[in-house]
Amino acid sequence: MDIEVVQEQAAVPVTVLRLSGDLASEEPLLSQARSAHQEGARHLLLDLSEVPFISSAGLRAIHQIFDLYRDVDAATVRQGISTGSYKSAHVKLLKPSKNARKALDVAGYDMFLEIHQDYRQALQSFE
Amino acid sequence: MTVLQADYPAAELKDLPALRNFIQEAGERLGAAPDPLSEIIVAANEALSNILGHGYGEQPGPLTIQVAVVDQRLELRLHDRGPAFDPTAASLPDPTLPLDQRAVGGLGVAMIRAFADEIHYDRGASGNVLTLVKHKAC
Repeated sequence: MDIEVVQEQAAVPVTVLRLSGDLASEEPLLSQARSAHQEGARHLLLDLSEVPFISSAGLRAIHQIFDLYRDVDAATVRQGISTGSYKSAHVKLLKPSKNARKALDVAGYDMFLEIHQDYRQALQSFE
Repeated sequence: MTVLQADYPAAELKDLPALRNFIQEAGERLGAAPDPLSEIIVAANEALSNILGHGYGEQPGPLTIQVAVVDQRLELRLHDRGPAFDPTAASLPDPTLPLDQRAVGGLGVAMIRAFADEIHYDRGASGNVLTLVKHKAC
């Protein structure tokens, strides 16, 4: 898997990770997201438009990134997910493939991660 | 009925891309349509990951993969000699739980069930046989 890092300025600075290739393991995505976080990134857009295949290991990486970037405690997040009132303001997804979208739905990640189809709209959704 | 088979005497987790490639190429040779073929590969990847990662404890182990198309059904059979594990009986994860509170392999099992139209498991003297099926595959 290749990852291109792009810095965008919307209402807030947004780090875009453009993934290319199968997302079949936690690495290198997890390390790249950690590195960006250590360098100060707080808003992350994962561009999945060039990811034809995603596995449960790839999903786990996305979940760990969500945990890394969230700024509220896990209990609050869980309550918000249960009531449908919570979506991450810090990690969002762009253009997953049909199978990736289905995998995200199966995992329940669509309950706490916004999934966008348009790049500009995705950037503008960060506040 | 044509059955395409690959035998791996010492399969490991690092072989997963090659195993997916075999299923992809076998399915294409048998005339499977792209969508059902791609979906059964997602399910197969999770099953194979469970076999090689958990069943064999990340040690090399024997594995046989069979791919067939029968009456527009794409059938994939995985045969391993690891400990018994029935993904049709495993519990599914609560997606609202943190990762460290979820059952190991639970997400993979959920994906197997979601991406395959039928799942059959048999534990015999020779090990585990897991059959994944996609309907209307041609």
